[in-house]
Amino acid sequence: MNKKLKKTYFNRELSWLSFNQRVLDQALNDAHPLLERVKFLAISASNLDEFFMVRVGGLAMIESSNANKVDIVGWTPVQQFDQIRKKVREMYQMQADCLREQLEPQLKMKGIERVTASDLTESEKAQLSVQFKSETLSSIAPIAVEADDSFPMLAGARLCMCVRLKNESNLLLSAIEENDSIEQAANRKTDRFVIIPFSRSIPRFWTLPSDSGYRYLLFEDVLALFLSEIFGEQEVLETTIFRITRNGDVAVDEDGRVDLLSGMREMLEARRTSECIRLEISEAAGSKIKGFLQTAIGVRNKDTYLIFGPLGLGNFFSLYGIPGFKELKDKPWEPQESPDFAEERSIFDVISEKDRMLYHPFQQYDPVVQLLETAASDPDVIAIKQTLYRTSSDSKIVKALELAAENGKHVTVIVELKARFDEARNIYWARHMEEAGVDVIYGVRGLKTHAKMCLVIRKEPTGIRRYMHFGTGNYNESTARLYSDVSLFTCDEQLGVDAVQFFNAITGLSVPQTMGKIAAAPINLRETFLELIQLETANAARGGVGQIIAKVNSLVDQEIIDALYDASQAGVKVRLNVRGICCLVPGKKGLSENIRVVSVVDRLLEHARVFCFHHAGDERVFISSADWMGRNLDRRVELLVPVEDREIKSRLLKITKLYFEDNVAASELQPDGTYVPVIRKKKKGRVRSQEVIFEEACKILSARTNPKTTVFEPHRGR
Amino acid sequence: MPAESTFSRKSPTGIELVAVIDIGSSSLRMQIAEINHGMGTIRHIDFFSQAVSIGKDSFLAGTIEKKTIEDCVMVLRIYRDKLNEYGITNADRIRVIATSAVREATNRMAFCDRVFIATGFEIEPFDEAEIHRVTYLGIVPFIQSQPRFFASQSLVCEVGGGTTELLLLDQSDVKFSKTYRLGSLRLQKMMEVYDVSIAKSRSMIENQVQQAISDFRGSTKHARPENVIGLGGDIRFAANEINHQPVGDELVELKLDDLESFVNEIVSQQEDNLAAKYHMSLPDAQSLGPGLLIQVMIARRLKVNRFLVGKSNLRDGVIKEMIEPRGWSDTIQTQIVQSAIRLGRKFKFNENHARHVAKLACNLFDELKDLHQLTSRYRGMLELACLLHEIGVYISSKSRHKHSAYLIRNSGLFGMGERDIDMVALVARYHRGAIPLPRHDIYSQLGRKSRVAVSKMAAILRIAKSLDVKRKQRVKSVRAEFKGNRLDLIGKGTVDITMEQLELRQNVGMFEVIFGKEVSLLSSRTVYE
Repeated sequence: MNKKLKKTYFNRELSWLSFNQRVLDQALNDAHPLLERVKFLAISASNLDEFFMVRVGGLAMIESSNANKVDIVGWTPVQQFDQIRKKVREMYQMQADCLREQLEPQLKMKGIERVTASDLTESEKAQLSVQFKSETLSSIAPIAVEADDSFPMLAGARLCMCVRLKNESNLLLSAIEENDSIEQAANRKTDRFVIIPFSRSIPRFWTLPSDSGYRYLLFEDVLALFLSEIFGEQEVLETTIFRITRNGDVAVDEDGRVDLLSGMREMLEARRTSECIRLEISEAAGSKIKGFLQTAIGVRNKDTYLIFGPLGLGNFFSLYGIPGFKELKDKPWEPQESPDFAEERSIFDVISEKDRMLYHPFQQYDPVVQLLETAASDPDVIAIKQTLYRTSSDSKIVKALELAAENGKHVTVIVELKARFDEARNIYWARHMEEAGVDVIYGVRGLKTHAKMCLVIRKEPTGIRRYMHFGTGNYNESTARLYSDVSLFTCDEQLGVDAVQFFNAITGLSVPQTMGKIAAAPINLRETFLELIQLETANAARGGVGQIIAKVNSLVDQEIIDALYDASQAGVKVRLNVRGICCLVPGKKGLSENIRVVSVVDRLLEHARVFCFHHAGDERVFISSADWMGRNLDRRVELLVPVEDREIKSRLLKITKLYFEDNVAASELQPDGTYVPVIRKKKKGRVRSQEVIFEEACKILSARTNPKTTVFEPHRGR
Repeated sequence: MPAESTFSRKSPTGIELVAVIDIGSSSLRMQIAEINHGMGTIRHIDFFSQAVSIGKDSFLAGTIEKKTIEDCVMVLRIYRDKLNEYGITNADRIRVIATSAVREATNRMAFCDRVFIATGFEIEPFDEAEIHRVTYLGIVPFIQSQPRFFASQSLVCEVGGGTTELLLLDQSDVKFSKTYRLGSLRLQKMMEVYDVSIAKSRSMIENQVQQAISDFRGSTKHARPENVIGLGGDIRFAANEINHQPVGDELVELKLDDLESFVNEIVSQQEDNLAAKYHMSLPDAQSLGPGLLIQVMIARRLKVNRFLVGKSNLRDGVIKEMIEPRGWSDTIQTQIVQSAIRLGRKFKFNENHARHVAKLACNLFDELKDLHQLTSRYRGMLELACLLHEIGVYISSKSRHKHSAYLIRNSGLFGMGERDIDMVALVARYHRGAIPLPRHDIYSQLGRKSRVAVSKMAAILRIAKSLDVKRKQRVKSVRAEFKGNRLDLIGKGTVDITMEQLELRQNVGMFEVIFGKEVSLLSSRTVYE
């Protein structure tokens, strides 16, 4: 037997950055249509914003608290910071180059052109001027900055313009006021600075009339053009665009708090004013203006990032949404109707017949909404219990829950107020639902309720029946079109008992009971995963077959990783499909040579969590809301639900295995931490997993709606 | 506008939702279940459990504090909401039972009243004998499914927060049942008060267990149990942990050594660690150790090696009884009758006569069903009253009916609650002598429904005993025929029934007053000639 190697890991933050690099690589990949590439660029930019707010913010707090906490690799926060900054600077450069050298020139050729002030004709200028004065000027609120200590409290992640104005105040008057000489006054009063935050109500993209194609200006260029409308005769020496990022890792202190809602509001306020951890500024900015901003905001040089080209590339997402230009986008994969739900039958009959699964958005998400809408007005439904983590702005699900409450059903909803960056929206929906008579529970103290479960209790002639929906994605109709997730519908008796128990436990109505089929965090999810992995290890060690296939968004938890290392060493074949962060080192001799890690980054965001264990031939397949991260296993309320229906199990297994065949959108993690695109082998067909899954969804529908006739039915006379 | 429910339109399906709330010493639990009367099955639907430590108050101070009462009210209000959610609103479908913590509190009446005013729940204080009955009912399925464990004697041991219940079974029959004031929460609170160390508390528990076992030995001279059947949450938890799987519907066997080492491990850990490790509430973690120690020590003292653990609890037992809400199941009735016969033998009753009177009375009860309109539960009581109506002779034949009533009330019958025993005693008391009068002590405390039932049963007993006046069991059975205002009883088994007719004349007055029928006794031969 091989001598065991010391266990090694990858740093979490760098692993995340390489995930974002894979997203950015899509923007650089000319196999994709142009606007799709723009979209990937925008995603990589907004991802990076969130990374700074959450991860870098968190690291900064650890660093400032002087807690010499090292990560799984053994790095201190300072060491991690150094690596992060280096990688981020590279990434900025690539983003800028991608836009400037590839996307913009190619877009221009296709008729989508960004123009600058110098490109404008006089009539265009005149038209813009009218538009600026009538629609925009009133919502611009410049803030003059007189002294360091009066620097305004700027919201994070908002673009701003900084304007340096020549100081034309009366030096004599100033000298008298301060009892100085005129010379001293002149020295003291150098330039004046004015900050203009971009209001959310002003669009970033300004469309110009055009006979064909699409010509646009960025707002900063429009603003620069009309500064005189704001400053009149004052001389503008210099302008620059900048953006600050604040620490978003401000958690609400729940201990002993009676009113969580007001706590959340305070937290949102705190996040608005928390420490600045990043200053992005146009590389064209002069040293005076840059120096002024750094001092005024209190940002070090190393946290200042010079950006070539436009800032806030996340906004370029709206370019993807401009009308027309279909040829520059992927042909849409229209979500297919699931034949299971296609017939005009009650959804309750459909589910009670057998378990049902959807893999959306390849298949339509509608049945999930339909379940709630039907339940809301079904006379036999007595109660609905539902978790909501993130929901969409005009959610049909929320409406159905409200309608149900109005129709006299007992509706209990756990709204997770602590869902990061969705807090404000969730507070709003929570209040709204309460007004409709829904019993809203604002999460669980100390834990985030991340489980995705809906339970409909119906009184039928044969007794009480429970209909469940378990999902890997949020109850959000908008993201359900972009994230690939699994939905499982069932009315299995034991799962029903478990679901009721689980709900009673998290709503504090009952102490957690042993559940028959479901595992839940933070009760027994970690133990269950470990047991399942260890069982494979034991089976392989005894000379049997050990096999694990897992599809997660992130793999960070050390205990799970170590168990997987042990499994690999015992001979278990481990295949991991980890979209994002992966701290596990695969393919390392003596440590993990039986582990393979692939990541699929494609049109749809891979989001489903699926786990398959060989289990000595009695294959076990589960879906879950949880990733293999400490926060999911210990600090969140999560569920692991078995998929038992033979047909569904086989379909889900097929899908899960398919990702490892992908030779178009998959990359494979190497022992050195790099990701290498999976190359199509000779004689091997092209496999793009998402495309195959979509085609399969089409096939399922057409097979069911146009069945091949194999039994002949003669017309007979009576 | 939602359409009308298909459920409510359907004819009764024999499916009924019921709920049992159990007000225990450390928590209030509610089980909602679906009873399928047609199939006789029970399906668990929902379960709630909230920690409120009533036992902490009543075991230490003797009264339930005002704050604890309000905590209970708060929980019960939530439970009421949940019952409304399921549409369980009819009081007949909800049973709220309270065990030792409420029973022992001096302010239990105030507690029950407050709960009733705030929530509309009527609490039934469940006495020890009733708990024995329900516990036995919980064991019956094991006797049927795993008879190999019941070939000899077994001791059923359920340790609760306030009490420990012991039931000695000889094969499937209950030979002895008693509740001891020995409970996990009670012990834990006692240890807190005396602030004793773990080692010391062990010997304290040992001492208490020893006292209980001495009493048990004294009462059951020939007890040689081969199994201890442990019931209750604590021991089930231990079995789940030791076997790494939850206890299912069958009894699970544990090696006493394994159990003991597990218990030692539990006892050696800090309670907050236990709570965190096993995801239990702190109060549950605190009483876990003492609860398990009691079970282990009882098994050790009785030198029993086989330890069996079953999933059965009070709530389930009560729900089972709700399947036949009008009477006890045959299994339970058999056990109660056996316990009555043991009591009769103790007082040297005329067993043949007593059994025969009971048989005739039940026969009459069935024949006169339309007349008396009593449920089968009263048939059971009548049978007991008949069996025991003459045991008072053991004391003195003068006022023997009163002695019988006294003995019945104070001897304890397996599975019979206090109120039921009172009724049985009264029926026995009125088998002769005065008819019930308002000044009669216990009788006057009964509600109208029970008073009427006692009178009806006593009237039937008076006829039944007349039919065996010669104590030779000559009239084997009896048939009733209604002819307008007349009721003819046709006795089978003998031709000459003069003696019986004479005796009936003496004793039928009460029956005629209550039922407004004129009764005659005829011989079957006479009728057919």
